[in-house]
Amino acid sequence: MARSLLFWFGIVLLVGACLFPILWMLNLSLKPNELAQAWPPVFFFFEPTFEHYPTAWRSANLGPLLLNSVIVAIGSTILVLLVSVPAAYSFARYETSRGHLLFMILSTRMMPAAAIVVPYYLIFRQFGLLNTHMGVILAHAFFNFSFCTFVLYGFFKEIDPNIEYSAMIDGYSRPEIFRRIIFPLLKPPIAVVTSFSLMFSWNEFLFAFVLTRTDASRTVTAGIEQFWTMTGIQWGPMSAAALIAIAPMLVFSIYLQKYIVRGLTFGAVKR
Amino acid sequence: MQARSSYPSVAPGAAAPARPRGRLSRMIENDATFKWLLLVPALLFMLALVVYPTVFAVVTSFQKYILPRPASFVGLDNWRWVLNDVSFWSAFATTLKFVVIAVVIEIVLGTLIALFLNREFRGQTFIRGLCILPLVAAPFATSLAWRHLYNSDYGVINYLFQLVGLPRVEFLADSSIALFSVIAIDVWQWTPLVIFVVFAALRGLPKEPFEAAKIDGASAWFTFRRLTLPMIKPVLLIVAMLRMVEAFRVYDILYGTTRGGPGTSTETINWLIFREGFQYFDLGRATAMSVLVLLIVLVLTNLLFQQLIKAIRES
Amino acid sequence: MTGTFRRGFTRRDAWRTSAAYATGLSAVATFGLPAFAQSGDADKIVAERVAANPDKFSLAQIPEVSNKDKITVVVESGFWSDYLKTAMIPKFTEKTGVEVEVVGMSTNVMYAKQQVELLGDTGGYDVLSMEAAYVPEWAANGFVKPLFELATEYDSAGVDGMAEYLKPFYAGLMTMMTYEKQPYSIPYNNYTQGLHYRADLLEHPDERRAFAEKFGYPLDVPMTFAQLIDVAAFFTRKAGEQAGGKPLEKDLFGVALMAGRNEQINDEFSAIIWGMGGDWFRTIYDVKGALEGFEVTIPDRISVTAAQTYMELLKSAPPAAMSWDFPEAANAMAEGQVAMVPFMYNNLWPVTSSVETKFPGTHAKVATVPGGRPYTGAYGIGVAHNANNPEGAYWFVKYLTSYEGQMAYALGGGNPCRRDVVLDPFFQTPERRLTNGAYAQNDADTMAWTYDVAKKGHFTSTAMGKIYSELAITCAKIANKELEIEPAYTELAAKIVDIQGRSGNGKILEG
Repeated sequence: MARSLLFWFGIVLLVGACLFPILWMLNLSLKPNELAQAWPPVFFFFEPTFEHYPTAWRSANLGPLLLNSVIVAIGSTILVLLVSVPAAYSFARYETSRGHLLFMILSTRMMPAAAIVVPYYLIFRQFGLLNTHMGVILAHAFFNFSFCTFVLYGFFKEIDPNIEYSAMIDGYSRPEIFRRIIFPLLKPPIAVVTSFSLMFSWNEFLFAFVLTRTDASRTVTAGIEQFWTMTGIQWGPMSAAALIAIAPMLVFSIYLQKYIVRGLTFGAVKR
Repeated sequence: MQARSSYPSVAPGAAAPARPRGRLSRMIENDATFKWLLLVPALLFMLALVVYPTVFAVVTSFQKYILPRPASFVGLDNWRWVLNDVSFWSAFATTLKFVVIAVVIEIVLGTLIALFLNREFRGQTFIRGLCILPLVAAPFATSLAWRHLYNSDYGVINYLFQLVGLPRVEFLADSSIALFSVIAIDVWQWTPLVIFVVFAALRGLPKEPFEAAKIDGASAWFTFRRLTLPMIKPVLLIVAMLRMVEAFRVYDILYGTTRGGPGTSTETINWLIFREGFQYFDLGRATAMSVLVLLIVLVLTNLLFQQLIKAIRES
Repeated sequence: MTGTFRRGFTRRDAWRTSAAYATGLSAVATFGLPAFAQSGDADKIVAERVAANPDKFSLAQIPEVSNKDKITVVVESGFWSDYLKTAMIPKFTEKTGVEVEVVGMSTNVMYAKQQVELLGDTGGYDVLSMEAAYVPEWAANGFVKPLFELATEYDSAGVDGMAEYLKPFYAGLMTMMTYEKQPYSIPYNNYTQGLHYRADLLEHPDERRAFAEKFGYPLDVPMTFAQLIDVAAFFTRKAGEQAGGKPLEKDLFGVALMAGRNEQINDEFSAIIWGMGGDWFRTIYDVKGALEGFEVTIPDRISVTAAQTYMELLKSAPPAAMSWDFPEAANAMAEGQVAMVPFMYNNLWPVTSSVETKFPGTHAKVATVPGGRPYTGAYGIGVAHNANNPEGAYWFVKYLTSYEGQMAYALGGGNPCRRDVVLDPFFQTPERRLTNGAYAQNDADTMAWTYDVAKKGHFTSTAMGKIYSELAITCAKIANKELEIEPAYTELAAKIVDIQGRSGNGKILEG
């Protein structure tokens, strides 16, 4: 009994710690301005105001920004999958280049973003990609590429090559093997990297901010910046905008969680 | 279980129904060419988005290139400057401190919580689902919430401290604490990743050795030390490496909280490079710094990567 | 909800949640968008004032604009960008047929973001927002079009008309917006500093008596730094003690400072150094007034004393000041936490004065900063050299800085740069005091800067945008006790020489 009580106490503590900052944002977004910096902090008993949501929506022009985020996140994820699925398969199945290339790909993510963004800016300018969805899509695809390839590599290593081999003996052509045998096996890992890629792209700030200049392509995460005004951070509208911005990802996480638990082990654990 | 390219590349016997016989399809059917064919998109992608910026960075690091003026080669000037620059090395030290402390805490805490959650209880999926939220919320947005929580005049954390009789803490204003406050945000955000990865690994462990250990009356600590830990070690190494790579790039949470201060006590390398590149537009120095950082990080991760390969081979 | 989690998240759940989210958002988008509270009011007053001043340039005088391309405008985020979007831009578009897109951004990123677009020559922004410190740099690089050139091209009033139009603006601020005798930008946001203080404390008879007893001279609004240190120390008290005849509910501190890792700590240091008669680096002109170069003056005795003064003041500031920027410092006064904000930008008066609404019985006032040399400067707007539609941009700049635009800016709580607006009797009333009550004092202090601005490296160096943040880092290091004062200054002097040499105008002359 005491043990179980202790366990639930731990659970409450854990969930509380995870949720509190987000709940606090919700709290701030519903509080009238004069309570935003009250001492002692007001937790529950205040008359909620809903004015911050429309204010935030309007002054940051959130509608188009959300749409941009959706386009960029989906676009970069599709691009990343097209590139990293075959690559990871090649690495896992054939040990192409004995891991050197794989390590090189992983290492691209270590380059400080601030250093990458300048050359990107210069090339994108040449190709007219600045302030376009495509520009941000490419940049996000770049930094998701290494992560996705690496994660997929782990998954693909778990697939028994003999399945493929015996299908070959049965006379199936390579494209058929892929369509009938490999793809069904790839579904869960692809779901995992899709989730992560969408999430990283949605949350990215620096590239999205530098490579865009107007609401035509700016993502919602970069848009929150403007609630930092000359007279201070507007806590109410800022929190409202931040919540609107992260809400799709919060909902999405339910989906993510299902797959992540299913086995984000990078193929490093024997079953 | 390892895939080898030595498998026969053309299936013997039974002719496949209506197999096309073009040059491309021959390349597809041949393992030696197929494995590279699969890499074509990735290589093109790398060429455009990875190789070019890297080459650009390396070349620029030998130039005096201050926008909007044209670039001119100056040999090792930038490198000499970076190596002698006090702020570079202090930012590097800060980053290293940040990475080591954050990643160690995340791994230890994440593993402990994963062990704690690794049992059946009511509403388990729901509760685990809640724990993933810090990971998916945009760090820039949440860092602003943390800025509010940390405030010493109206922040909730100081309020809670006061309730239990602790003194007021200047989380972001005290230079001996600020870095740890930022680390705490990083820990809050990324520990869920560790939890879930380790949790997934724990769920995948074979049952028999643990049952045997239980029958032998082994203590929980012994079981963990001798059974669980070795088995999940490769996963821990991988997640540590991923976290290390990410932590080196920390930027968003600084933007929302300390912005490198007080003084320069939380100025990380990414922040410094951004300043050099985007405030001074001195691309020569900024790229010299980035290339140097890249080299150092490559060496560090390579060591970890070797460990990882070894651990996977051993398991 | 739990059920959903138990059986896993199905595709139908995904659709359902997305649909709910989308419905919620579109509901907000369609129904829940009330107009900004103050804009209706402000609109009416602005219209009245404009009607009462028919001789001033107004919207009606904009001629037919031939280029109808959309213009993109960078504006500081906050009440002003909101007001532009709801009130001024619709009118401008109706009159000229030119659509305007506003890009709001915080002042944290204004320099870097616009600089990137300018260097990349993208033509992405038509109208630029620029701080005094980066006007020379952008002008020297040819990033901004000279106003006279624009006037010659698009305005029948021509150069003379533009010169006439610029007359109501503060001469000192105009000097900052000028490079080699050409004005490039029209200021709209004046951030000259003032000493914001709690008169209910500093003028309280009990406090005066106690102060005179303790320090041997009468308590007054501090004019010198020595006085400031004393007054700051005097008002630093613990909760429960008396202040202004009442017991304190929470700790009171003498001063609020902006000692965080932001650029504004440099403005405080500058105000002290300048107030003591020193400088960071000085502009040297030859007999004919042509720029010869710069002389770096740190680390001299004055600058070292200034830093020591700052460190002394920090002892009477809340510890949190080590992370503060101007909004937090102003807020500290609003929350009744400090007796003075010695170096506060006067455009934050509406924040500091709000202490009166929060704590009845308190009284906020503004005076010249100790030493009499407040940090000064302004944000201005100008037309980018590669503007898509320079004609539309020119008229937009003129409209925004017109009497009407500055009037609206003032009504929203801004600190305008036109004297005819600042001195408008409308703002000198008690009803307007909490919003515009710093105007008279600010006018005097800005006027005092008319001639000296040109002597400061701050407003003449074309590398100032870059040097500025280096100054701030040094100040922050000193405040944080990372470095001793003299070594920190020596390091900074080397950096100024380096940056000025690499990307600035004029050479560094040996002192």
